[in-house]
Amino acid sequence: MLSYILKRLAQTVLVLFGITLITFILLNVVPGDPVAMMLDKRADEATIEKVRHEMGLDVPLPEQYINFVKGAVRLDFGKSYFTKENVMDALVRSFKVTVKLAAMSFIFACVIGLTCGMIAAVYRGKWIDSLLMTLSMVGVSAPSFWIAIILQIVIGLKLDLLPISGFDGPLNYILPSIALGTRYAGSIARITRTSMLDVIKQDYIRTARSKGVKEFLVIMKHALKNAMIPIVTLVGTELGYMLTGSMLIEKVFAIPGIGKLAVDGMMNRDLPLLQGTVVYIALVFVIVNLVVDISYAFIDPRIRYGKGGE
Amino acid sequence: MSENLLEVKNLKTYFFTDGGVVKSVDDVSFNVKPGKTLGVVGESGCGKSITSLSIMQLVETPPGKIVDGEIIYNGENLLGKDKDEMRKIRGGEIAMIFQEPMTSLNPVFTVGQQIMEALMIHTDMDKTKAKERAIEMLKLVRIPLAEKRFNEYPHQLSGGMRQRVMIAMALSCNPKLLICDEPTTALDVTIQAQILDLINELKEKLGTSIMMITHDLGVIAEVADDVMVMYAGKIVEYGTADQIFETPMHPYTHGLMNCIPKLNDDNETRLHVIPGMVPSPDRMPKGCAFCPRCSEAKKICEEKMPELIEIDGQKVRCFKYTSEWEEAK
Repeated sequence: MLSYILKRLAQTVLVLFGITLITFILLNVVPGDPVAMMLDKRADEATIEKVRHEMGLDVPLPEQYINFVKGAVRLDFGKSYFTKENVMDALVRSFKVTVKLAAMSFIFACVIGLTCGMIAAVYRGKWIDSLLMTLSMVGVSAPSFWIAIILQIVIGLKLDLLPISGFDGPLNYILPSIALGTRYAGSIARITRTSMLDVIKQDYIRTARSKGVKEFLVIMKHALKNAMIPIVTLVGTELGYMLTGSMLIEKVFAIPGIGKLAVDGMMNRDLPLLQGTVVYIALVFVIVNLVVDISYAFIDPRIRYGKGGE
Repeated sequence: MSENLLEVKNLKTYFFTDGGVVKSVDDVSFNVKPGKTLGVVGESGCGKSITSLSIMQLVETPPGKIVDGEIIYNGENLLGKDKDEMRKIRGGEIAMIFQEPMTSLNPVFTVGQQIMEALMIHTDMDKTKAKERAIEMLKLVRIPLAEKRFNEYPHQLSGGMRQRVMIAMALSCNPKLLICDEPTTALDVTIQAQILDLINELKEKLGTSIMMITHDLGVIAEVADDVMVMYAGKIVEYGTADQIFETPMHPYTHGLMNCIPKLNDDNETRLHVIPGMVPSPDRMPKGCAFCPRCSEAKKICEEKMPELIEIDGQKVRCFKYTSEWEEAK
């Protein structure tokens, strides 16, 4: 197991190297000059050159990339072109916001999704199944910003129950968590139902019933553990998306998270900021996937890693 | 208290599908005597598995439903029991083992956990006691290195070993009736014999009654005291094992007997088969269900379903043994 994890982490380095190189190339290929954008076209040649030099943009491109890598290994992504804030500090600051939002949406999505999926599977074909699956379809297809606006209008303005924007206290996070979590809850519900239906018809479920196991435990213990692999795979990816920030939700609720940071970086051709967020996003997905893969071995004893591969 | 452990009376289990009503078990009555083995024989789809699942009330509802009949266990009608009472009977009083040992054990729990679970549901044993008992059961079904196997997962065991685990699990709570649904069909021939010997031996040792469901008359010959032959949801012949093997009456039973290859046949003889197939439920003939495949069928067989009649303690559903036969063309 340990050698497997080390191998996976080594692959991560290659992934990060590739992804930052591509970002670097893309930003240099697409038209638009960060310096010109910063200085708003009024500056003269000398000033531009001076700023270029300060930002390290006057050296050849390969050298720029090498300089970036040199900094990145020390977790130093340089300063944002625009705000002059240290990128690492900006990332940490935004992460603290995003992680709270992600955690709440994640819990919301998992609780609602798993419960609805299991109820739908157990009562397959009954009205409750149709109702839950219709709702989950709506959840999956409705754009999250639309849900966000509806929530703001109904719960925030009309009923005046919760604050509609900002990020001061836990109450502020409730509406954005629901808005962000709804589509994930919908997809978790659907995959839980499918996976449970697949497991419920297996012989060992009949065996469990034949030895007198309570129906609740047949579902919660014997069936759910077997149905977990596809669910965990999906939930892992979704956690990745949540942790890397939702630009739309953050925009609608005025939350300064990772999503906002990424958008700022892109709009301003702010390469250090963008590289920082890209590395962060890639890292999140690599780690989430690794955790998901490792969790397989704990869910299903037939899956073992290590010694001579998988 | 009656002399029978289990009395099934006029059991009817129907499946209500889009294509119509499928009478999987149609008016079936039989008894299981204490400490004896009842063999249930028939081809796939004849209703033998549904009969056993009906006793356990594990028929999937919908589409299946027990529409009529009584299942009297120890003097009490199981069909009148509520869910919780029935749950205590399953595993505790009546246990079941299945055809597919490869898929009948839960892959994500250890063998030990699965046996202990049954014990902790039906007895008041604590974990330590249940573990001792589970290992004792593994030894009883002759699993070598029982302590080590206790902590293993089903995928680490062979098919034969898994079926032994199933037997250990089923018998762990001392059930009075063990229903075996084709317990040896999925196993190698040598392992089959071992498992049958084991079931027989445990029956003697523990006094458990057995309902052995199989399509293999060889298995029946090995274990059964009484035999019930089913065809298309109905009993076609029912008697003691001696009666069935010495004087088979129904043409279908004859056919099944002839299907067993004999070593002293010369090589030129082709394997005997019963021509045709079990009629599909939506094309059930009006008369005797076996009539289209029967070499002796007369016109009367096509027209109406014969009754189950009793001749010298042996029951058979065939016009051959009625007064109508001679008159019929």
